[in-house]
Amino acid sequence: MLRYHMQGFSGYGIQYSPFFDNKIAVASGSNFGLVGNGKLFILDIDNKGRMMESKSFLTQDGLFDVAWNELHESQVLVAQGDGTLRLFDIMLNDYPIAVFHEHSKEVLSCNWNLINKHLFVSSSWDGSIKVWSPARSSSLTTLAPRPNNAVHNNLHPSKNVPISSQKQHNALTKNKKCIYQAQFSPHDPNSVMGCCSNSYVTLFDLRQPSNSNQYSFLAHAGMETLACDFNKYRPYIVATGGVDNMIKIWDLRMVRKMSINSRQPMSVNEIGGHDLPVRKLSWSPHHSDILLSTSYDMTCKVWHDLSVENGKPTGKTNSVDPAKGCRLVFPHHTEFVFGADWSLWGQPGYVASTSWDGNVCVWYAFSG
Amino acid sequence: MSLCQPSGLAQFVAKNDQLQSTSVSQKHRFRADEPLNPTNVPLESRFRSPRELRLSDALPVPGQPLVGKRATSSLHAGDWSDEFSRMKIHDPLSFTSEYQQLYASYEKSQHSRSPDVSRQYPPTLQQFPSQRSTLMQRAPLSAQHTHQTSSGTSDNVLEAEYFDREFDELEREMSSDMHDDIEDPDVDEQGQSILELTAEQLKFQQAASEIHQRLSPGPQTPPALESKFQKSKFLGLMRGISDGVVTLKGADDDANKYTQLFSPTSGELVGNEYFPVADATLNNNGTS
Repeated sequence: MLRYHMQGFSGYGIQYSPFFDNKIAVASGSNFGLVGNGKLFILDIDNKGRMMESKSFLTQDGLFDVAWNELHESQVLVAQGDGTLRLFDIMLNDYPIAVFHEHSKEVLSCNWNLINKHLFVSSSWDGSIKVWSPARSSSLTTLAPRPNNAVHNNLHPSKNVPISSQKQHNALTKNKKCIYQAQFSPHDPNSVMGCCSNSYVTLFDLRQPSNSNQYSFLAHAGMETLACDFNKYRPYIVATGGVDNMIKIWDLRMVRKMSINSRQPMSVNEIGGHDLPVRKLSWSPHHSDILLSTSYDMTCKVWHDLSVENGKPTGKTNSVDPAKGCRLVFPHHTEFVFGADWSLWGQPGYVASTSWDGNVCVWYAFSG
Repeated sequence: MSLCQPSGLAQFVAKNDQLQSTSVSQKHRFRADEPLNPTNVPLESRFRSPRELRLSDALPVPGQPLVGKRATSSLHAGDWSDEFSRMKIHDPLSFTSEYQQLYASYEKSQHSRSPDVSRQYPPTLQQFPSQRSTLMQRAPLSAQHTHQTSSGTSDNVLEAEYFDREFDELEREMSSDMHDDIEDPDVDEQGQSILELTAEQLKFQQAASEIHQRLSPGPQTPPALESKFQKSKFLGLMRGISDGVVTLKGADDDANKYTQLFSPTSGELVGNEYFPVADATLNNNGTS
């Protein structure tokens, strides 16, 4: 395991460079990202296996996510707490080369389109998803999940049922507009998925008019959905993670059909292996049935999706396995783990993770 | 005297005992080879002595009926002594004679060491401030009683004066300790600044309190997670914020813009210092 400590900063987002096998970008914030500066770290792994900082950019607010430009090997995009997205060139110093400012609140995620590489997407606390081009300072389009899908009650359609009336559950009913993550599909350049604090996951089709460009489904029983990811090999499979500590795997074909009929779809697999909410999910770039998760329980876990075998559904869920399909637990972080990413390079299975403890760790997911 | 001092009062008496044995006049310095003098023997022995009823009246002696005590006050000391020595009380629960002999020898060895031993424990009184209130309630009673019963001989007068002086000193010491405790209003005054938090700071405190409550280890928390929670710096910070020890600090140029954390009581910065960063790009600030 390799480790690098970001003195005074807590890690939020991390991504391997798509161009260099030894470069990692990390978005971080001081004071656990609550107040103060942010910092973009560019870390290099040398031939002796040491991880060191090759570049860093101090920002005036905390950074919550990072994405490498898929068209330019030295450009990195960050999502910042003041509502801006900033594009840095790691060959230059101090300042970003472009600032994109339309969000009115914290930008929580950013993701580069892997097919149409002239686009990137962002999601924010302000309840909107925006699609951008690095060549333009204003967004190309703004997507917003329809507000009427906040709570869908079939028995009493006119009445919204509160999730809980208990005082200790107050936090569950707050910030219902916040969109924690938005992501382009790696299979369809016009498909965007966003997960929201109202528990809904919404899929947008950029080609469709705004009145019919989306469908949604309730992913985590009313609890906030914090993370989502497209499977890299199965175009219809997505995974979501939520405040109910669950990872759920959905087949979008079923989801779309059910949502058109105003019915709640069922997940094809459920994994309940974290002790606290799931914060980040990432399907393996090398395997169609391996999934990485991070959690507030201060661990990263690697899962085997038992609902599929050799590309065919098995009809099983991970609950049939005594270990719930867990292949590895990475326990070495000492605070909430927010970011993790699979390495695209070399032997499949290397993972970089970052946590609020300020550590960036590189470890092997199949060592067990 | 037993080394165990179960109450503040017992500690106080022990201190008095020590003070007496190290009298300024050196008149009553205890020596193991001298015959026992009632004024310089340790307290427990004096409980048994008919001439030293001053403190024993203030202290309930286990196993000794209070009625008997009240009766002694109306008798001459000598008569009471004779009558008491003639009494034969059979206690079925008493220890065996062998044990009593062993205990007596143990007690003797302890008596010879008592001044040094009691010197080892003076901080005990400061370590348990909750016991001071008990001490404050009972001490004047024993002092008053000492005055009334020790007006016979000149030695006793000197001793009483010395005791008064030492007691006054002890009282001053305790009142200064009390004053230290009452200095809390200073903290409260500073705490007033905590109460005068802005709406944003209050919201921040409330959020931190919710987080701390939700993530505090409970009976269902797995052991591995519990130990991580106990070591978590973030949860420590949340506890500090919810307790009002830490809060948001406004920027120098804009008080409504919060950029740092600080302690409102000490004014010290908590966590990372904020460094202003110009909101510029390389294309428009000419640095490219």
